[in-house]
Amino acid sequence: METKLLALENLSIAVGGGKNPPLAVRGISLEAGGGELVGLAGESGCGKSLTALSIPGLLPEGVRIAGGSIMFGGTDLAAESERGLRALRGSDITMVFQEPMSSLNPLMKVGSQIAEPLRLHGAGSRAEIRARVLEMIEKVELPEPERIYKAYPHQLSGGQRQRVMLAIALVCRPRLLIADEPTTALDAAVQSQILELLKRLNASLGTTVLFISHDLNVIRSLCSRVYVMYAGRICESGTAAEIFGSPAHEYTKGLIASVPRREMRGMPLLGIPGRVPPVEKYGDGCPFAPRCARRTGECGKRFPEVSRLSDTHFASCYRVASRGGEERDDE
Amino acid sequence: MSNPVLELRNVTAGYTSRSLGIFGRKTTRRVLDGIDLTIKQGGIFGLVGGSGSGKTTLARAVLGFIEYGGEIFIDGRERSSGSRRDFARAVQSVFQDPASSMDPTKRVGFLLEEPLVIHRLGTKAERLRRVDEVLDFIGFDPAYKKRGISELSGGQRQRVAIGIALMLEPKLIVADEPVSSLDVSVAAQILNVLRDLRERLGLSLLFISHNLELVHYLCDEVAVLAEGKLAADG
Repeated sequence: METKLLALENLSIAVGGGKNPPLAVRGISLEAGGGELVGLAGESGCGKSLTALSIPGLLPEGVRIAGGSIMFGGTDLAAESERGLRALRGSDITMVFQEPMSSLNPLMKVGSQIAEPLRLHGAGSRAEIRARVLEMIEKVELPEPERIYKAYPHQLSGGQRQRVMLAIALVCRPRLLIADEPTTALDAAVQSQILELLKRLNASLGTTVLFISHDLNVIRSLCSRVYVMYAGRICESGTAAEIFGSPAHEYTKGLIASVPRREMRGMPLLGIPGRVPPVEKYGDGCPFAPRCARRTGECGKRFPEVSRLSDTHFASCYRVASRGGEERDDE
Repeated sequence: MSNPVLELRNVTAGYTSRSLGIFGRKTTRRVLDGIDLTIKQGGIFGLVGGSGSGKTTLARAVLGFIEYGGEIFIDGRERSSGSRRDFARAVQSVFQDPASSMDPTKRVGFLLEEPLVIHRLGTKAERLRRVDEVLDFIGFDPAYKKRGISELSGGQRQRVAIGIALMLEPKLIVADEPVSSLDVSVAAQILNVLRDLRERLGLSLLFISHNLELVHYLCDEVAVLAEGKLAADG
């Protein structure tokens, strides 16, 4: 079997102290191969961002990995020391967040901010670093690299700042880029430009991208494989064609039905009633059962096993399991 | 034929800024440059455009928050012929961030009743009946009257904001990015409420968004605002 660049196995993340702190992420498994564009979808408060932060060891205070492993190129990051993680962060694993302005230093010129990871990870002379920074500014398709190099963040537009963030994240040629809602704060036109850029960079640099978003349209246009997360669990995973073409889990169906598209004009949006429960009320059964229109008695008791629908398509739902894992809609 | 609910004729608007210093030069930036637009009763008009294209400026002109050139007719009356208060019963608004426009110390019932109190409409009993009616419309149990705003989720707050806008029975609601900060599933609930406004109350809507798919889903007519001009779309 080919080795995956990133493999989360049975990962759990606990929030808060005490003997039995509630788990915000409950035994999830997720894989990303070299050069793959993988999406992680779900509503706010489902544990997507905690999952992302746990990979480079950036969980906030009071939140910790409670079990499982994070295998990255043969090492278990869950067991890695802070020092080991620091060596990986910014060079092998990088992140891009939603609001670029809050990650950029307003008092530092853009050029030196892009150069920072190179300096920290000891890459070459000043001239070499400068050359690589200018090359990177060109790679993220910013105009006039020399001018951008000397600009301050406030002199750039929102889309340009996010391009600078991508340059910082990719200048060390990481193997893994984690992008947590990187386009949510941008307007539609700029958003699609950044997504196209991300696609091109993924192709030209071969960086694996874990893309996190609640926006299914974005995930659909970008990712080849998708994981859908609900209340700390992965409820369905598959190729983008499987997830959007023949979704099996009721939650995935609800998410897709919530997104307005012009073809659906004049029809009410089906959406999903209710909302994501708080972490302490996740319960033992299928966490989606209280909001699910097709729940049965057993749904509330125990979390359903993973059913295999194809070599790449998996779902955790009793409805799917009772159909023998076969893809069929009986309505 | 009845008057259009909203009609803009050759509307212009801009902002003046002064460069630094006492004798700084005044510069005017024209954001809206001759806008014509008509919304019939029960019509949903979608306005799209990038950041900084003037979408919100147009909304602010319609709502009477800024000065403008040209003419804006609301339900047949020129906007500048009356105060904001005079027009409050004809046009109301819903914005992106509902929490920032509500007093966090007040309860849902109070916030809903407030517009009626300000406009001295009805007796206490009539006002409370109207509050219950609107609560029902936005899908809340009457018990929610006693809830504080801080106890509600983002989607619930946005529904309360729509409820407040409905209290005075306006003809037109200006909704500026009302679902942009909400999760997809919650946004779907809000969009259904907005569709209901038209279906059940015959209300008109000026819906502003940067999301093209969404606008085409919801609206009868869509126009793109770019460089101060309006161009029809689809």
